[in-house]
Amino acid sequence: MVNLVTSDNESFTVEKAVASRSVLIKNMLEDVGESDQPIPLPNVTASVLKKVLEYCDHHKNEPMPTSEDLAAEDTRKRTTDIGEWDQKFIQVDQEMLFEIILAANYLDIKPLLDVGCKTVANMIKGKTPEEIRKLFNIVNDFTPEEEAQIKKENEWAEDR
Amino acid sequence: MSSSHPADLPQAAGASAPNSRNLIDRIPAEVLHDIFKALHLSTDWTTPSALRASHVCRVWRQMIHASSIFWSRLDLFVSNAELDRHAAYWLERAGSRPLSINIRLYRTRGDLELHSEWALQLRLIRLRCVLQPTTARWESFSATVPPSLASDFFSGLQGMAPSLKKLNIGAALRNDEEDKHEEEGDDDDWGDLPPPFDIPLDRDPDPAPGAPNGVSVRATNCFPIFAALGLFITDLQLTIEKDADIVADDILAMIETCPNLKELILTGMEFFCPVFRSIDADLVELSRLTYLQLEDFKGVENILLFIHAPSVQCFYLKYVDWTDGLSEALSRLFRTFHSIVEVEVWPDLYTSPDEQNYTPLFQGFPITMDTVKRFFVDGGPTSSPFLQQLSMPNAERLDLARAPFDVVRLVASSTTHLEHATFTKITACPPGPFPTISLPDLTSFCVEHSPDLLEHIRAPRLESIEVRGDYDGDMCMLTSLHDMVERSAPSALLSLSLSHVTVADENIIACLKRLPTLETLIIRRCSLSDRLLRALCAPTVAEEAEWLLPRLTKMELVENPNMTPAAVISLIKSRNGPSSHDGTLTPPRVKGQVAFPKSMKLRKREAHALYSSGDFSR
Repeated sequence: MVNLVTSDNESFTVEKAVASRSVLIKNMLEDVGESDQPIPLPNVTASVLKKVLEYCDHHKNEPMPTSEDLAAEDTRKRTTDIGEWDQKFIQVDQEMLFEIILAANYLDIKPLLDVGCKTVANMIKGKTPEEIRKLFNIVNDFTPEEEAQIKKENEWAEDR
Repeated sequence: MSSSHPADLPQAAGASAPNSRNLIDRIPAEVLHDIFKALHLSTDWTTPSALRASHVCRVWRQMIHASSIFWSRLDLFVSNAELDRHAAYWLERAGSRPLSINIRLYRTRGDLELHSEWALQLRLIRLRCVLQPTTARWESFSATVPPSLASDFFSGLQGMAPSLKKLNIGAALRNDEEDKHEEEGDDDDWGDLPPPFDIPLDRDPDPAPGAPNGVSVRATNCFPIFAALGLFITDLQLTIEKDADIVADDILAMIETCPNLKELILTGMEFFCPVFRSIDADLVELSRLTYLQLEDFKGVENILLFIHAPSVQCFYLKYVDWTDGLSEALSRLFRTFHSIVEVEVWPDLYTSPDEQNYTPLFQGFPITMDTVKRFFVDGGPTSSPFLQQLSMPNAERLDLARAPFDVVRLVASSTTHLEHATFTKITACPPGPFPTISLPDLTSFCVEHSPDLLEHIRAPRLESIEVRGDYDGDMCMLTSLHDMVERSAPSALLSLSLSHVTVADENIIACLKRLPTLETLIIRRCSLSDRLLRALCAPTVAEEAEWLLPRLTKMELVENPNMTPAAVISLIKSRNGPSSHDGTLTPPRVKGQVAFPKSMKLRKREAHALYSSGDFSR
């Protein structure tokens, strides 16, 4: 078992197979060897780690993605399709979604990061720039020159 | 501009002061880049979302503009007056990435009609000038242009294309992906198909290590003649969507420039294509071709007669007119193609010659097809003189339709390995059981609309029998199934399926008595009645010896007008209900499907009795 301590000082004891879905933790365990020392995770809160561990537990028996898998995904195979369980898992509010993405990135859990990225991509897909700004509370900060160029790009690639 | 490495990207949205309190601004640059990448790869020209994302804010725009991956796929529209500027803008940002270029006619149908042909021609010339210097990076190039401009545009595409994997060349007035089901005649104002034109794209005959092995080409409504690139084409699909005058010579000339084809698919439009080259002309040699499919070409023999492809393994001919000419071509082809494993030939029943008035004159020689494993032919009587010359000593699967009994007997008897057979609408079956067709290895047998054929079959190793009538009317089967079962005595029959069949209950009951191993019974829209169902009920202990189908586990009773809900419920209860035989009999549970004709209203309690256990679906 592995003991993980979150930024808000909460402790989680989990199976090694579950914790090792995180490449960061896996490497730490390999470096430290057999030890009862807790592993501090200063960038992850308890509520987020709980969610991340739920993901790791569900996928603990799946093979870890190899570098070839990641490379293949990087080129063509990546789509916004998400597995059924993952879809339900990631049905969270926007704040939690981004927290999960940040945690997956920090803990180096590529498949979870992928689910998060695809979910955000799905949120963006098909929306107009204005709708996307509204969704994420982003301010339109383009200069008039940039606006003119954008209009041109739109004429070419979108609306005639 | 060409960089796409996350480390080179502008730092994430956090750098954008006005937005810095937003959740998404906390996302690191490389993760935001991943989000855009997922977005980019999952969308197409109808929703170019990565481009839209670049219109959201400056940080996003900078990131997308700095990453070449978002610009290497060019979706261009001939209807766009600034087509060349569009292309140049994207290419500038794509850096040195491999390119995927797709030129469609318009984004919204109707846009194209606003412009004169001259204007479109100029536009395409300007575009070609922009694209030409990049041919070395083309991975995929697809273009559909108006037929009148196709020859001029495509024949000007010069350059080395060492990375090309996919090439789509189309001449049409509508985009390739859409409008497939538009009303007929919608494109009648096309004019003629363009004459064959050169595709001068080139490739070094000694490719660099890592270069793609083959090029896949799809040509629509045109006949491209390839330069050195043709040597690398492994898959070629020609589709003619327009009812136009074409000649087989144009098709042959195109194929001739692709001598290393492995797969060739030609799809026509029900028109006849004559040939003008002499019968003594050199054959088009396709020594590596393994897959050949020709569909909807009338006069297809005019193509087949001039091709030599001894390595073909799969040969499909669909919607053809079976004439003496076709018999002649197939006869030559089967004599010289020595690797064929699978053959399918289907006629176009709407346009085939009137079989009543067509007397085939073909006279061939016997052909032994040693390599054929699967043979599917629907030939009609005009094919008989050809089919009766065939023998396939190693065929494992045989589907024959509308052939006379003698042909079926000859072909089926030529193999001793036949495992699966489907015979449909077999004609001229002699009365009585002789001559017998003995099929010692047959395990699955389907007969459709040919009741008399059953009497002639002897197949002792059968595991499944399917008898089908016609959807439009019953097939009357008197005693033929019973006779076949008696003669074959199949000791391991597992499945019997009857659909659209008129047959007496006694006949089937007598059959089932001979089939104690049966596990699956399917009866759909047949004349069989409650009497059969009563016979199938689990017996009392005293009758145990008489129990029909003791191993039955799957049953489908669908829309049989003479089977009542009460009798079906009794049968299911007797099979699946609690045992009332002091435990002496434990019938296996039966599952499956039960449905009644619409005219037969099911009461609530009957529906409950039938479906509540979950063993049977409707």
